[in-house]
Amino acid sequence: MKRWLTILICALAAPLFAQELESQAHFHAVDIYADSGNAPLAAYQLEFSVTNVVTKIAGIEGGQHRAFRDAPFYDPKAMQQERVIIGAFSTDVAENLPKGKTRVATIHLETFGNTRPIFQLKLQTAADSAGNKIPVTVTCEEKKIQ
Amino acid sequence: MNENNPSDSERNLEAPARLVAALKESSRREIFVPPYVDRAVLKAAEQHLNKRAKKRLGNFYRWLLWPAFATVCVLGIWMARLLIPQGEFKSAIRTDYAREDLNRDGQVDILDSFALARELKSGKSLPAIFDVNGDGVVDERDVALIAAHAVELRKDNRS
Repeated sequence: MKRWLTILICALAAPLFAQELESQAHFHAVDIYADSGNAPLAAYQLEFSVTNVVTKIAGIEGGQHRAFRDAPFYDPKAMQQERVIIGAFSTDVAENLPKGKTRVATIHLETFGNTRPIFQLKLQTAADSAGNKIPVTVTCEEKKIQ
Repeated sequence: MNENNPSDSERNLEAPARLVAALKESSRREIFVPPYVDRAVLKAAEQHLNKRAKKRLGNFYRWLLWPAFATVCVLGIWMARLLIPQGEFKSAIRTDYAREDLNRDGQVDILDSFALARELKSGKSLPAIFDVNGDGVVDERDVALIAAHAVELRKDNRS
């Protein structure tokens, strides 16, 4: 009798624990910036990941400059995961491409727990309008959600 | 009498007194050698000795040549590995590129997709090798396929 009572209590309490976990979910929007210096940025590919907390990538949108306004290419499998590779390019002429620091994408994600997430960015490749590889610095900033 | 046996007079080998005196006199006398002859002899001797020394060194260098050549080759390969990024070094010696690796840098990335997009934009007629999806046409769908391949997540934690 006691055993059945314990199972019943656990079954009733489980949704409460789940609710508690859900309540610890946080939404983040992370802006991804690329700085190509004086070179026009025509193409980039980078890897973004969250290393320290359980994370689900919820969405990816394009950047600020016209050349990268469309959402970048990414693997749909990355949704609901903590890692994604994004890449985009523009075949516009050099004059119409961004130089210096520009926002190339924004990644929306959901983290669980109260730990502050640590974002990791790794540039894989970048090129100018002629297709030549160029050095680019990538950074990210968490957007304050109102 | 046997011819091989010299007579007693022939056995007497003493030189005539005049010859002995003349020889003694000549050894006492100093022979004058002009300085230019001295110099010429010295120069010839010097040249001869130098030639021998060079020959000896030449043999030594010939033995040294092959180890030196091998060392230079090894150093060259090591420097190339050091200076050329790993991916590019591998791609420099490999021939089995992925079909999507249009720029032949050993990696399928967004730059391959970008390269095809630029070619398409230029309006050039493109060879069938760029028809990555095999639908008989080289178009934007091939560009998108290469891009999708470039950003694909794989289990080995690489794109």
